[in-house]
Parts: sequence; C-alpha cells; structure tokens
Amino acid sequence: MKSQEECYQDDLMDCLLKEQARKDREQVICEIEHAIMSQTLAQAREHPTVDWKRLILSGAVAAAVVLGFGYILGASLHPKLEGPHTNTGEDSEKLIPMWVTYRVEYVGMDKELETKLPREIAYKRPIAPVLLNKKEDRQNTSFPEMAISAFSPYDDDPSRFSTAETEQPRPVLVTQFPGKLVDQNWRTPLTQPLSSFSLDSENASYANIRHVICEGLPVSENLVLIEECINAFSYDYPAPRGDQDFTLNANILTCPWNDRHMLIKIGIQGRAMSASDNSNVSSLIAKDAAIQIEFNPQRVESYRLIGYALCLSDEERTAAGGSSCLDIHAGHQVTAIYEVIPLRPVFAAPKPGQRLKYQAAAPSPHSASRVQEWLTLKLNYQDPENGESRLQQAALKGEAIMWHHADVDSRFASTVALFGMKLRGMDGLEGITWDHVLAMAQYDTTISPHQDRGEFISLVKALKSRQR
Amino acid sequence: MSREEFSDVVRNNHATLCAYARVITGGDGVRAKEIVQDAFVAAWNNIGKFDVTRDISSWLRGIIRNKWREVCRRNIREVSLSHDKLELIEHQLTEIEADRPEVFDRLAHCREQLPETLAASVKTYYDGELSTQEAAARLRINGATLRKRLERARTALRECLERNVSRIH
Repeated sequence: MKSQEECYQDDLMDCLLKEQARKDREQVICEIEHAIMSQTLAQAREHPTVDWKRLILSGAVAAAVVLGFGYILGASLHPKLEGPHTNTGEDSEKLIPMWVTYRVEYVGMDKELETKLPREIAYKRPIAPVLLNKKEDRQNTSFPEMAISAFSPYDDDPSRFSTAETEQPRPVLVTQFPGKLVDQNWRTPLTQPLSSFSLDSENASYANIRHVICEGLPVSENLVLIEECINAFSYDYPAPRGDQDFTLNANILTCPWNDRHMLIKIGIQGRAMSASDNSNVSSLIAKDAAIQIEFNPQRVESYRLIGYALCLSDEERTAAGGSSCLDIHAGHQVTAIYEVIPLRPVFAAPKPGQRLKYQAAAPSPHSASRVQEWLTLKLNYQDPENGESRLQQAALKGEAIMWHHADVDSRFASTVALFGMKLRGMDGLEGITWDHVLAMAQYDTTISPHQDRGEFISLVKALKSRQR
Repeated sequence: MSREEFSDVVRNNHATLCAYARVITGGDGVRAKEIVQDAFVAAWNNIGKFDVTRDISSWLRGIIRNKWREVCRRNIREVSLSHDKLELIEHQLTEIEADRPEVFDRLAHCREQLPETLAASVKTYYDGELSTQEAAARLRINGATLRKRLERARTALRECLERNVSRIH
C-alpha cells in the first residue's frame, strides 16, 4: 500500500509526463496571451487615460495654423490627397470574425460513407473543432456513434475515443490551399502604369495562419494571402462626409526593410449605414465597384503590389488590367500596400489609345503640379438605387514620412505586410529576421484600441522562437 | 516588468504550472489549463505588487492555489487539498526542480535511460495520448500489466530526476 507521499509523487510524475506530451502548447500560450490582452483592453475601456502625446501634438498643430505657417509647412512635408475627402474621425469598431476552415480528409473510412460526410468545416476560435458530434451533422449519415466520438482530435478526454479493435478514422487538417501562388511582379509605370486590386477584404487566410502557428505547425507559403492578413485588422480612416459614399486614403512612408524603397498604403472606407438605406438588406452602397491606380513614372521607377498573389491561370487576366468588380456594403473597408522604388522625373510618350494623366503627348501647363504626384486613385462604381455610374478620385503627392514618424496604422499595416512577405519567402527581404518584425510590431507600446493586434504580436513571437 | 518580459514568463513557465495545476485539481487537464490561464491574467493585473526578488514561479503557483480555492468555494463538488497536502506537493516539486522549465529536458534525458519495456509503455500511453485500454491493446498486454509498468516507469523517472537535480544548471 502506497503512502500518501508516494501517491502525490506518482501524481506529480504523471502530470509532468502528460504536460511533456502536450501537442497544443503554442495554442495554450496564444490563449493565455489573448486572455491577458482581453483583460487589459477591458480595463482600458473602463478607465480611459488621456493620450498626452496626441493632446500636445494637437495643440502644437493648432498653434501653427494660427500663426499661419502650419499649412504651408504641412503641405511641403506631408503628402495629402487632392479631391473630395473628409477629415472627420469617426471610429467604427469592426468585428473580425475568427473562423478557421478545416478541409477534412478521412483516413481509413468506408468510401461510401465518406461521400456523405462534409469536406470542409468552419469553426470559430478558440472553440476546438468537434466534428460530427453535432446532431445536425449526424442527421444525414448513418455513422456509428462510437466513430463519431472519435472525431475530436483536440479533445482532452481520452474516454471519448473508441476502443474498437479497428483503427478509427480521424480527420486530417489540411494546412494549405491547392495550387501554387505567384507573387505580384515589379512593374514599371512607363510600360504598366495601371494597377488594381480586389476590393474584397476577406481574412480567412490570417485566421488559418494564426491557427497553424498556435498548433506549432509550419506555415506553408501557399496558406499565406498577404492581403487577407492586412485586412484582418481595422484601420482608422476618416468617414465619408455628406453624400459621399467613400473616402480614398493614401499615404507614403519609408520602407522599413529597404532604405531605397517606399511604401504607399491605400485605404478605402465606405460610409456607415444611413437612415435611407434599406434595413431589410445589408445596406448595399455601391455595385460593381472597382479601383484603379495610375502610377506616375516621373516619381515612380517601379512598384509592386504586396499580396494578391495569383494562381498561374489568373496571370493573363491580371496582366490585361482587369480586376473583379464588387458590391460594397456600408462600413466596408479595404487596405492595400504597394512597395515603390522612387525615381527622379523622366518623360516618355504614352501608348496609342491610352489616356494617361502623367504621360501626355506634350508637356501641359498642369504638368508641374502633376510631377509632384505619386499616383491617382480612381474608384468607379454604380449607385445601387438608380444604376448611375460614379467616380471618386484622388491624387497622392508630397514626400514620404519616415516609418518611425508615420501614423500607428501605417506602421502596423506595413508590419503585417512584412509578416506575410516573410511567410511567403518573398524576395527583397535579405537580412530581415523575425526579430525585426517583432521590433516593428512592438514599436507602439501604448495600448491599441484593437485587441487583435496584441495577438498578432504573440504570433510573431512564436515565429521568432522557431528561428532559434 | 514589461509586457514583453511577462510574455517570456508565460512561455517559460506555463508548462510546469499546468503540471502543477493538474496535480492540485486531481488530474483534470482542461480545468488545469483554465486555472493557469486565469492565474496569468491575475498575475499580469497585479504585476506591480510582485516583489522582483522573489521566485516568480512560486508566486504564480500561489495564485493558482488561490484560483483553485475560489473554484472549490463556488462548486461544492470540488474539494480543495488541505494546506498540509499542498505543502507536501510543493516540497516534492522543488525536490525534483519541477518548478523550472528545464525539468522537461531532464525528463526527456531520463526517459532515454528507461528499460525498453518501460520506455515503450510510456511512449505509447503518454505520447500517444491514449487510454489505458487503448495503449494496452496496442502493446498487446493487459491493462493491469500496463498500469504496473507505468507506475514503475514513473518511479524510475522520479529517481532519475532527483539524481540529476544538482547537475543541470
């Protein structure tokens, strides 16, 4: 008969061995970090503190305007958009769904039964997937109860697994999308002045990457859609004013991974739901919306769109300048980043039939102003009520802001872009390690109103620890 | 302590703390994980009160014990261990330095020294995360034999950890 002390010794060893065998270690750490961030955010909301830096800066700007020097100084140092846009700041909290889609493969399953079972299942983090244990999933199958209970790979309770003699089929998490993705190439405005990107703002790729990292699995580069990572987060763009449907936002900053390059962050913010919107549908504000960017070869030597990698079969369609049109609902937001190599002004003739703003057949009286422009954004869409075609456009001019002096959102978005670029193994990142990414992610030490950014930092830390 | 430093504390200590929480909650892995998570949140909220001259893992274990006592107060079906028993567990923990993250490296080293039959039992049952019956079936032995082998393995591993305490630093 063992003594109590011996019993506790045995229990302790048993628990150590179970912890040693634990396979969801990274997920446990992620959940702890997430819980800490959630608590910190909740406390910050209950006890908001004054942002003294912003208060002092606001006062300084106001004083400069009063003196009459601030506007001129700002115009020469900070790029601004020309065109209709507003300066009202209206925070809109965007809920980011954290769904992970599992593509299910059944191992050792009867083939006839397998055809009746789901091929893809989506679950919301952090609930672990318990496949086919739901009544509605079992209704269409005649699958035995014991085999159903075996479909819980993350269940801690071993008694739920079958004790049958034959090996029970278990779902396999497929961690990458099919097909090879090819990153966008560098383009020169002299030959390819026009670029576009989808106005969609899906974020499933980021959710999948997050889950894979938390599971301690390697991140397949085909899993990484950089634009979905960038758009997994909300950014504070000014809200449209009056009868405007969108604000077009753009800013230029230095590139943190290449001293010779710059980054242009483009953000499109749709207006919020208004009283005139039909409440029975999800407030459609624009139909067949498409964005087009024309780069100025007098300022841009070459550019590349970060993200929006293509399946090989899509290359031809994208090279023709086409982009999918999208119906846009109230509150929609999309962000894209271009990496740009700046150039001193040159002049070249446009191609026949091309109506370009920056490459006219002959110099015009307005060319001096246009030389300062980096690009022009054009957003075409149709009014969903009357089908009227509308165009909003804006030009970006001015000099790049140093990354460290840029706004928080630009710093964060560029960090997420770099995160995705490293995971995809893109070129141009020689010498850039996860330490650099972490330093960028942690640059803003103040509590962000977006709690998911803290979780992003945890993911970067996990990747950094793997590179040791 | 900065947020980043605390993240390092989480990463370095969560596994040993989960093991400790399992012991005091009677082996419930899910409950242990929840309590450890709550403990880290509470620790971060009170990090300003932490005496940096103290051992942080000891402080965190104290928070875990308090969290478990709170659970037991709310749920009469759960029974918290007595102070004497908790002291005993704490003593056993420090005896084999299971409060330090390096314990898992030492444990892996000790597992390599186990006789083949015991090592196979440990690997099949623990690493395979199987029930006793499943693991026994896989090893083609009966459940009682497996339980005995696991008990002998745990005793051997504990003795190995005790011998190796002074060497690993």
